[in-house]
Amino acid sequence: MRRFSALIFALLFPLSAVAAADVSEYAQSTQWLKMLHYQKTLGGHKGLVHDAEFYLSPEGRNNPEAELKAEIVAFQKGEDKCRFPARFNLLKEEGFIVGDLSDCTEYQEFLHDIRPAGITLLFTDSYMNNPASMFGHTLVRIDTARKGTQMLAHGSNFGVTSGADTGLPFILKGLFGGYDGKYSLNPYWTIINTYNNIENRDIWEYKLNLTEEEQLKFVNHLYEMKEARIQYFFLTKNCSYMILELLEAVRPSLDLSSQYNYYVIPMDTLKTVREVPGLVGEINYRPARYTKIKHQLKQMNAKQYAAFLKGINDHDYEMDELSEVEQRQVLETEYQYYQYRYTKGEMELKEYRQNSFAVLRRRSALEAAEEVKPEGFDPSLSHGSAQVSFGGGVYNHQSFEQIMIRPAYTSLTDNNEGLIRGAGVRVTEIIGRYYNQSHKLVLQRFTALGIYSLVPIDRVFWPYSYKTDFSLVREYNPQNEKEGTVGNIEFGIGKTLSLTDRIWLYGMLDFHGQYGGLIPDNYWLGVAPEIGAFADFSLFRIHLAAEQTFATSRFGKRLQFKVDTAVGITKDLSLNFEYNASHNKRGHNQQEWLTSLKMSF
Amino acid sequence: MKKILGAAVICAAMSLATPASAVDSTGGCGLGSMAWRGQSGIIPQSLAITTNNTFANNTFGITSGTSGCDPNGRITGGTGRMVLAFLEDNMEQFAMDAASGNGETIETLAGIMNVDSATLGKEVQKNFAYIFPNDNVEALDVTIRVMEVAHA
Repeated sequence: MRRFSALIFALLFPLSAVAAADVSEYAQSTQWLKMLHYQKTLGGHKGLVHDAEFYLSPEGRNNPEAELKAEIVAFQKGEDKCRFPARFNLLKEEGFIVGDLSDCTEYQEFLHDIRPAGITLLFTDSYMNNPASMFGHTLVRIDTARKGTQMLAHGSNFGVTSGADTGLPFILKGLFGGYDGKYSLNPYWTIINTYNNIENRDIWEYKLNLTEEEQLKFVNHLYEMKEARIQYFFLTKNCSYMILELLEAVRPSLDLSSQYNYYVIPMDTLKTVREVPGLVGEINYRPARYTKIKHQLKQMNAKQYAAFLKGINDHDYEMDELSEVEQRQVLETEYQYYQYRYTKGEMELKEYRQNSFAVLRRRSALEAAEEVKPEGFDPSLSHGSAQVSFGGGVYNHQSFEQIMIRPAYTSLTDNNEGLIRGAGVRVTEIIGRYYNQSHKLVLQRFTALGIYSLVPIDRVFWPYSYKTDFSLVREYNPQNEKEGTVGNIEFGIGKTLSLTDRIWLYGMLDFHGQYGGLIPDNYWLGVAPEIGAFADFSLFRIHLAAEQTFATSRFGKRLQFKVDTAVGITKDLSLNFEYNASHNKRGHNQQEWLTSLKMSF
Repeated sequence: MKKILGAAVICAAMSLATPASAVDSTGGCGLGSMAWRGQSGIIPQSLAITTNNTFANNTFGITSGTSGCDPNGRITGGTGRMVLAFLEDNMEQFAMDAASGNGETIETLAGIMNVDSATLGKEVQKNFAYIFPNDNVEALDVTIRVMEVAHA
């Protein structure tokens, strides 16, 4: 019956008023295809959203034209228009339909709560001491016209609800599309609390220069996407990809997502948006609680620092010897430190409450003062996440040329502005070599994952430093004078000490193993104390390391030295010099020099 | 053996790399200020995602139904309801700002209550001991007292 009346209506009204040819043409327009998130397939189109309710035509997911026709018919009758305000406005602008949304109560309430006044792209930086999370995360904020601050704005995140899955099942399901993603909406204050205060991740806010019409279109579009489910793929159709999709739906002339076919690094999508001329306006930095505490500790003089330590260790908050300004800084830092400890689960509730309260009571007796915010380095200006290098060198008197290709992300001696000093994370790095004398082309090294995380300790925080390496490496067996590829696993853990802001020393205990047909008995396992130094003078970076390996096999026993230096030319270009030496008692010595030019893009 | 090794390498790589591109589905209401609610422990950095975290055992005894937090995750309602919703989630930061006499939460509350921010800052600092009489005060009491002080 319903279908019949729709048919009659359609015959009487909209499609007769609009030339069928116009409809067919518009159905293939970029705007229409982006608004419903169609993706090109071999024979036509398919919508990313897989809920039937997202489409009005039964064949809507695969047929943009049938969907357009069905929507024109429905909206003209006033049906379903309240669910799809962005599409409604679009078709109205195009002259397919007339009417308005003033009778859509729920939608109008939504608009009233949100009170949009702008759109801001949010980038959340890495977790503390977790270089792998340097890839970041992106979400969006709908700025509000409400009185007060943007804490009263709303943020939207594209994420999955995975239920109880953790570990491997979660990873596998996430990689292969086993979850559905949805856009969520939350007050911005909960987003600040989650990232800044619980996860201790800095937030960067990039205000987008959108027109008022585009802002409303964005909000309307988010409204119609609120129930939409989209198959989530960690590497491709992830949080950041889906934010690019939103922006393209709002401004179809933007071409942001098409370059991301194989993997989407959130930091890269931020850079893509940043590179569109005029799109990004004001930038604001919201440091995490941990960042603030570290910054405030750095600002303190020796007397303040002593008072701070006395406070947190002995809960003695007397500091009459300090000026009032100095006391304020100490008390505020102590309070934040207690919050930090409590949130980390390192402090009991009772103890937390008593002490934080004692601190605040004292603070409230002193005069008000402006907060001094730490300055951050805009992560969107960090070096490119992919890298190639060309170089040449000498290995045990044999000269070679080499090429390195790495899709992600950064090494310890790369320019770390906008990233983390002392952190390197290399994913799927391939090094190929050509030896001139023997005319051999070899895979020198494949690093599936290599991490260095050096974090200096101080009298307040005692973080671990660590390294990991999962790779295939080329090794030489002196017994049979053969070379071959072996699997290599390393994990090291230790502490880093900072001599100055820029010069650090570290010590680690490494666990090391290799496996492969080249090795006597096919494997060896070992432990290796490692000491090293890392210095970063911006343009000149250097990493030195010495490591003595004790192993189950003579093959693994060795003393190694490593020097890796980089001279920065631009943030994306550097000249590198490396020296590696390895000695073992059976005269199995190796020495290698390498000069290379590294380019990030 | 080689295959197992390869698989192990990839899994280790992924488990370390995923926090990046993954997902934070923070449940709607009340995630913010855990500390003042008697909720111990941390929100794990692991990828276990929870939805709609409701802290059933919170010492405040305020259920999310009474606060201004909308089930759709929106800020809604009149002044009192909004102040309560805001303070339920931001008590820790507000306590610090109140003791300091300024800060983002004071500017925000001044906006909600439509009063001057600098004046509100001065008043809440002066009345800190009244607004926070002890270390386990409830958001509802703080709301009532802040509104009282603001209009005083």
